[in-house]
Amino acid sequence: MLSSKYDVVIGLEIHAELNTKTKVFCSCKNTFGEEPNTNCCPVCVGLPGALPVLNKKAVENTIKAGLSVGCSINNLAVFERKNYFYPDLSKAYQISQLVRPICIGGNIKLDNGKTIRINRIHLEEDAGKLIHKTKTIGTLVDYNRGGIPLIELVTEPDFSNADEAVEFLDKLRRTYIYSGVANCKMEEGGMRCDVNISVKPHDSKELGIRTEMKNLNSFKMVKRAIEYESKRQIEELEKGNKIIQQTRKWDDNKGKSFALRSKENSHDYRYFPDPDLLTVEITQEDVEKIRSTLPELAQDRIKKYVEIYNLPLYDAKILTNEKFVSDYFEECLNLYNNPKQISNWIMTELLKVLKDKPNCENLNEIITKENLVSILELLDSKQITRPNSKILFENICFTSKNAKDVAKELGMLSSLSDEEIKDFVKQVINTNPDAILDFEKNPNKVIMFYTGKVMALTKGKANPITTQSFIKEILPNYLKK
Amino acid sequence: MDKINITNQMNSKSQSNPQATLSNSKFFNLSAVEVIEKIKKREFTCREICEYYLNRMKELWDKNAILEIFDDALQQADNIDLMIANYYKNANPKTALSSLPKLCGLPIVIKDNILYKGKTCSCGSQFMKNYKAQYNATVIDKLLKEGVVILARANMDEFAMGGSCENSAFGACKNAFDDSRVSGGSSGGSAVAVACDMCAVALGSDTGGSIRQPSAFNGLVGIKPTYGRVSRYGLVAYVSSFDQISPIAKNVEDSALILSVIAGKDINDETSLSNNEITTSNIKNLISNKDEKNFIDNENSINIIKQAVKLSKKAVNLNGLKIGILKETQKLMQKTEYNDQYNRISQWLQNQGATLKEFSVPYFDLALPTYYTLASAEASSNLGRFDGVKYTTRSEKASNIPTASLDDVYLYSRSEGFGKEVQRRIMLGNFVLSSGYYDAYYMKALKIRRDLKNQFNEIFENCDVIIFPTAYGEAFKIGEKTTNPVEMYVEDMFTTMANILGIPAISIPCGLGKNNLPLGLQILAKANNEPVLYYLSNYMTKNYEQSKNSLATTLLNLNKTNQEKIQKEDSLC
Amino acid sequence: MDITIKDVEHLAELSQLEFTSEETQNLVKDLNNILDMVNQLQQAKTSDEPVFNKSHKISQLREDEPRPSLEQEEILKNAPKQRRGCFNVPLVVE
Repeated sequence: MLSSKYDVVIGLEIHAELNTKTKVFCSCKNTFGEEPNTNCCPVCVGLPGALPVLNKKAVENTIKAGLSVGCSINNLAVFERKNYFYPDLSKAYQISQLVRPICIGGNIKLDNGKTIRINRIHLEEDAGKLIHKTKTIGTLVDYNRGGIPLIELVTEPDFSNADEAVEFLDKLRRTYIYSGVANCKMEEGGMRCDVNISVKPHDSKELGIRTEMKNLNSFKMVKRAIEYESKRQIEELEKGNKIIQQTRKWDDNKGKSFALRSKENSHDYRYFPDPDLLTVEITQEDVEKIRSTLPELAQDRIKKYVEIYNLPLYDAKILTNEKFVSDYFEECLNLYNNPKQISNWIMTELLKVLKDKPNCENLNEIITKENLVSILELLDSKQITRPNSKILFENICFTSKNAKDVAKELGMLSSLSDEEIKDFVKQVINTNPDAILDFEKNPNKVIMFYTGKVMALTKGKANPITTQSFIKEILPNYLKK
Repeated sequence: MDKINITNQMNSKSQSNPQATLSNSKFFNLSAVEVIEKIKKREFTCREICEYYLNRMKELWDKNAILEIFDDALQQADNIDLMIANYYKNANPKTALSSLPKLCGLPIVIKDNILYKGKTCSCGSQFMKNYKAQYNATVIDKLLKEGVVILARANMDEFAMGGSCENSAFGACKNAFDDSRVSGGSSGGSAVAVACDMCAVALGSDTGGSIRQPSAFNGLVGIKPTYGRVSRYGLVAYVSSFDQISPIAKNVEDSALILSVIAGKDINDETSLSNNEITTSNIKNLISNKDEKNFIDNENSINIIKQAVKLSKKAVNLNGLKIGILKETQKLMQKTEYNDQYNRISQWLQNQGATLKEFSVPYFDLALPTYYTLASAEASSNLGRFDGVKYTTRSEKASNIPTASLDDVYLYSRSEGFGKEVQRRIMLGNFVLSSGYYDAYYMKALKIRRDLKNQFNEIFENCDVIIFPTAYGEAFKIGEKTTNPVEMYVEDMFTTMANILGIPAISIPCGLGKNNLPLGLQILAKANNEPVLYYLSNYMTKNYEQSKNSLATTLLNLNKTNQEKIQKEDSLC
Repeated sequence: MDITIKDVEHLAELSQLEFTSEETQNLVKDLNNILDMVNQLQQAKTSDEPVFNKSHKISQLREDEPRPSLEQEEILKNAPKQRRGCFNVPLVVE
């Protein structure tokens, strides 16, 4: 294989939109999907005379994001202007951070034990949106997104393949969501990834020339783009060609990357400290205060689920994929201590329903934790059968009904009196007297046999546990005979 | 040239009679304080004085001080008159006076780079000639709340880049007292409007001397307050680190009054300062009366600025005041014909009881290169937003060619829209910020700025104020310094320091030069020490013959030439 | 250090400005004159300590509370060209 001769070196730059009420430098709302240019003020559109004013929450969330991945927090944070002309950039500069970002260092451990080092996380403003139409209509510019707070995490070039990169992204996404700093809705562009790739011969110490692919907004895209681009670079080198340092666009439909036209000057951004913004002092006290608000993160929960609740790693990962799912799991666990059963139900039943409800962010909307626990109790106490439990679930989903009431209404619950059950027990023993003969040898088998007969006769209405206890009580009388 | 025809805006009720604007007019040369008081007391209506000012603008239209008279000026005046009438109807006349807004009915003129919602704001540029402000600058909101009437917008160097008003896309503004000379700049139009009695006060903006130098050239009082004292929200940015809006006034008291209204922390400007930071220790040392000292302690911080003026009126000497003079500025002045005049000021101050101390700032000369490095860097970035996409005129060339690209829109619009000086500074700014030169120029300038700040802080440990001239001399001739940009830049030698340091500086009249044109004296103080500037400025303009006379004399001269002109016109008819 | 024609062309590109060859010649002259003055900076001895803007504390930052935005019509009021509520520019080719 060709690739075995080469090392692939990958670094990521990951942008996430922060979870705040307002934009980073003005008081317009931090929302998505409004009519064009309706969520704008003089600052967003870069009107003459407008000035940026930094959002406290955006700074706090950036610090929180940093602490959740082990960054150090700079005691002075500086905002700089990155100057270039592009119509999505209303002021012809983006306010970002270069020399003194809020967070530096940090790392995330992969499952294979490898540590991916984080270089920095800085706070910046998002650009507006360009809608490219036809040649006659041209491009339309909407500044609603302009000024949405973004954090950019830059990793060291520590990845050697696409899977590592995707695992990192997945872990980072969970961490942001758990710490509450970002929602990371990839389909809304809430989390985007730039990938830097270079390849070098195995025995070479020097890094190869790198290319950059921007704005990859799904894990699948990241994986495909990395795989394609590393293969392309290796092939170029094999052909004896040189890699050209360039920005490339990943076309997910074609499954190819291609070079973007770039001007010679486009990289001289002439960064300088933004004179409209003061330097931000971050004290150790500020940092500790924010650290104390950090919740249990996805990684911690996965560990707890596997080690304490004995769930398989696979299940633990699925449960923690979305924080609200994991929160629901823990709420149910508080009411009913059967992690495996709860986990199974969430994974098989609830997540199936959730698939068709992409906007749902609270499983209680599907079924309240109390109702789910009721179903599990009925099932575990054998008061209802497994097939009935599923029917019961379907009946109470998205309703305000009580699980036990519905089970009763549907005639699923054992509604026979003890005397009636005893009569049924006697009846089945009498009609099947031969089975008694095996009792000495295999009592359980016999009990189960008669229980099944009672259940069939009562169409499942008899409580199997009660039934069993009556069989145990009554059967010895027949043996004596 | 885009000049607005004003004749049809003049109200028909009052015939515009040039005679009415002569010195015998009851409106002539009133201070802002007087105008407000007379309007409040209903000695005349707001409409009457507005009409007087609009007539002055019309008469002296050739000065090119005014770019546009706002079409609702008289409507605004009528609203004020209505409000006053209502106050009198509903309130006891005595309380009505005090409950009326602080600047009730005061007509003002604003520099063409301050946003007033719905009105054109062109920054003296072709590029912005059709731009209608989409919101009010914070200073405009504050002034309107206190009852001003905004009459017109004043000419300026394009985007405030210049020291003579010759860089205006709408033609140079002429000096109030000599049509062949510059008004100074960049707030030239604002200064000439005040000096020619087209208004009692005007707003200007000062980035490297743009209020103080035209104030000096037209015999006025112009302050550049501590950086951050006045919100920059709604001021079209030239140099974010240096820009300050402030009044140009006929006297110190008016200046203090207007500054006290527009100063303060603004939620829309991080760099703005709270009024609580204003310090009074320097003037407290000058006051011997115990009651007055206590009074200052208990006074609301912003009122201290006005109180400083009042207290200085009572002062009979300057005992206890420590005045710094700089070796370097002394040396610069030695080459000029005005050296003696400025030396006499120092002598007089000593005679009044002040102590004079000489200090040295070896890097004083570096203020100018530091200023031009930082200013052009910030300007190149601040002016990026003018691109023919969101506002500003899009080049017709780019609009008409169907194949025109986005880059064509940028290139053609900006190249056609910006004037030469603006383009030069954008180019220079991009040079000092570009990779490879950033450390040697931009970063170096930032470091020199920091070192200068430290040096001046040390000097202010040992003196209350520093004095030196506002400019090398009187207003120069139009066209005299337009061939080599550096010649023009050097004119800012004395003014840029205050902006670099962020400290307050005021220019007051201090006599007439050899051409009988005004000279300016600059007084600088430590950051947040506006009160001591106002105290000394007011003392000087009340007691120093040269400061006292210059305004009155020049205004009389002006009036005489006008009278002669009118007589000449009459005889021609 | 002297600014050359090539430098001016490079700066023009960064500045999104275009000049005729005569204008370029004049700019070379003017910018070099200005640089002669600006180069005085190099004489000064300065310390290497980093320089920062004035600072403020996190507690002094703006609270995260929304305020009303402007109307779309107001936002687009000065737009040289607009379409469907957006600013309109020639098609941007990536």
